[in-house]
Amino acid sequence: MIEVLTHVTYWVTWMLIVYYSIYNGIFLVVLLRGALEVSREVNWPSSMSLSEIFANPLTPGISVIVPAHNEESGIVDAVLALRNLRYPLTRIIVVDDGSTDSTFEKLKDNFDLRPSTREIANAPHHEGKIIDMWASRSGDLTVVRKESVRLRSDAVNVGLRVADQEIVCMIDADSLLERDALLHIAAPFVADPTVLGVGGVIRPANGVSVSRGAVTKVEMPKKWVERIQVVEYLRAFLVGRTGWASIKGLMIISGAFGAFRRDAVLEVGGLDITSLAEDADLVVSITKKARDEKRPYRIAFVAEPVCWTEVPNTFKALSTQRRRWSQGLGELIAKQRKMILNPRYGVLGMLTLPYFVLFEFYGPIFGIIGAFIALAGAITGLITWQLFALAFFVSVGLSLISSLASVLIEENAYHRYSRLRDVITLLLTTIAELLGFHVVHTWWRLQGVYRALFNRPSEWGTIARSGFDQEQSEQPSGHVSGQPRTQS
Amino acid sequence: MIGTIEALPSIPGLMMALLLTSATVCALIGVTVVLTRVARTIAHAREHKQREKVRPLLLDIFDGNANFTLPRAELRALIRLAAESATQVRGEDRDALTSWLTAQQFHRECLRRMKSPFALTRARALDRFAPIASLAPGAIERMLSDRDPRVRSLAAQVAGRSGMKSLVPALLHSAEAPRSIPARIVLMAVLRAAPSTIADFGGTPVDGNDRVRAMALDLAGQLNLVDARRAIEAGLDSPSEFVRLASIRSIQRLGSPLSLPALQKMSTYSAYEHSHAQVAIYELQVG
Repeated sequence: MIEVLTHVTYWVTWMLIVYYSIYNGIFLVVLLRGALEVSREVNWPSSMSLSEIFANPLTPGISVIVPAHNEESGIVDAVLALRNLRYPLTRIIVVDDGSTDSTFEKLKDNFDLRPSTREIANAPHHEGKIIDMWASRSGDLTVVRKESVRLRSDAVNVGLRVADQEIVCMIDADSLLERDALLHIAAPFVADPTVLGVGGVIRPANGVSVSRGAVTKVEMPKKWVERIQVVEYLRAFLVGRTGWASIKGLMIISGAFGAFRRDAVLEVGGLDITSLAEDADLVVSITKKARDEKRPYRIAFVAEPVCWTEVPNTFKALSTQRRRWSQGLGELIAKQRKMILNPRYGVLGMLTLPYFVLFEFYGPIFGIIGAFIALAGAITGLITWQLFALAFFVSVGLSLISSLASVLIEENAYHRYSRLRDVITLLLTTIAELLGFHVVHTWWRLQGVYRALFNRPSEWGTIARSGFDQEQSEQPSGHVSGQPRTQS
Repeated sequence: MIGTIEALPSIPGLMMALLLTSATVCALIGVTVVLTRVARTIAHAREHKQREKVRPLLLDIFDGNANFTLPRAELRALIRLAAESATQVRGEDRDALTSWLTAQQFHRECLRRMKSPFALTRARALDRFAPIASLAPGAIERMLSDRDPRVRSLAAQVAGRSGMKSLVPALLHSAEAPRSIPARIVLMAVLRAAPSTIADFGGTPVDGNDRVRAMALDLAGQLNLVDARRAIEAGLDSPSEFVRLASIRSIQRLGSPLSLPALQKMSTYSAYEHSHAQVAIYELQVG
């Protein structure tokens, strides 16, 4: 009996070693590609391209879709910030998704809105009925009021019906864009006619100071729960997504900030309102359609930090978000299962999707079972401590190395954290994340896996937000630090 | 404690080796991050100090009194500053800066780097060369067929920004060349170069390549080149729908009633083309 147990523990530990070797091996390759791409982006002389895009009448127009639900505290500043972006042709579409506060009244008062009777497209499909439509006198701002069905994607689809520019950009009302964000995001569309979608690096806005809708000071946030997310975002966005895009395997463009060719989005019927991972679903659907029709296409990613968004500042809110992400990933995988290991879908089908199935979705199951067996085996003497050390190295050690490497890439390329002590905090956070947070995070993901596998109802939850820290001397109207606001 | 099976393989000293390796790698990355920050802070401070020291000399260059001698490091800082400033000033100031940069052999350095085997080096040289690009249009034209697509696009942007009208035909041809440049970048570059007469387009309005011809005619309309009317009207008789549609659009933009007879007698081959022609005719008739 003991012999059988010993053999089982031994081979499970070896499987765990192989599993994490492949997992971290693939990520290290993605990281290296990401690092090369970031380095190329940083060193490439892009200022001329950006100024040419800004100054040219042939620059494609962008419709910016902002779904807003009870955003009275920040919506005016959000629109003002969008209006101040450096881009020659922007049309802002705010979709007031059944707000019960004064979101619409604030917009109406501040931007002199008038009823609009302009015609809108018939597609894509949405559930919430459109109540009415308003437009500013200059025509650059349209506000659509609709009944809420508690789905962000439904509001975005309404925005897509109103959008009339070549490119559509979807952002969250609480996202803050860098002044040149739209220029950066438009550049790949201009340079390559086959680009169908472009994602941008998103950074946690917790800890940054804002003045007149622009980020003025970047410091590490005070709470560990926020700091950990800074490291996660560096690893996932700056390095991960840049790397995946460079090997033509990008699967996710965040809903908080992404741009697409309008035609490409409409061809796949807009966002899937039944999906919890509607942003990834959109990218996968666009890729699938292009591949099915054998059309040249590219999904690009801009490594330059372009968008700041507030991340959950409590573990409770974070757990809700992560459960939802995990569940959404499971639903997406189930929906697009025919693409997995299908050579027709290129890198996305042969590498990205299998990677996400095996390591991102089922990862928590392998992680928890494997870690328990290996640790118990080492303590009871069923396996040697050497073997346990090997398992620990390929799982924890390589993960720590990849996190630290992400910090190194950020420091070399963008160095947005101005103080040395923030950089040191960033380094310490990578250790805290792996040794403490990782366990809790795995548990949350496991709950999401359970919900996805057993078709439990989707949960969006409510995240309390505290707003951006405004620099006191130049505080604009309405958006007050510390004022709670909620977003479904 | 349960005994392990001796038959199962194990590697002596592995545990310690792995722990030491991971700890060393992590420590090295951490130290590199901190050192990078410290080194950059020092380098920035030094560069800032140097730039502030040489900045007043820019005024001497503008005034044509550039008869100063500087230590090598300061001269390099001044050259960098002058090259950056050359893109931000106009007229005589720009001329003064470009002549001084030329006297410093700045263009030779850029041209040498533009032949580098590395795309990034070529691109950076091209970017630095932009303010004085008009000195060597041939070099920019060569870069329009560079082996790296991003360098080619950058060359098109430099050509457009420098207003090199002599490169307009080359720019238009580059959209259809084997080493092509995306059409939108070409169109944007030509618009930026702002040719003021159809003569600047060379032979492209009657080019054998329909796409090149269509782009030329389209741009002539967008730039409102009145002297392009006959070339545009000639495009209405082209066998290519691309060219005919470009001609209709340009006639619409020019808005000259003189084009009405040509438009009325043109043969349309599709409903789409016909509707466009009818809209243009209506607009010309109502003025």
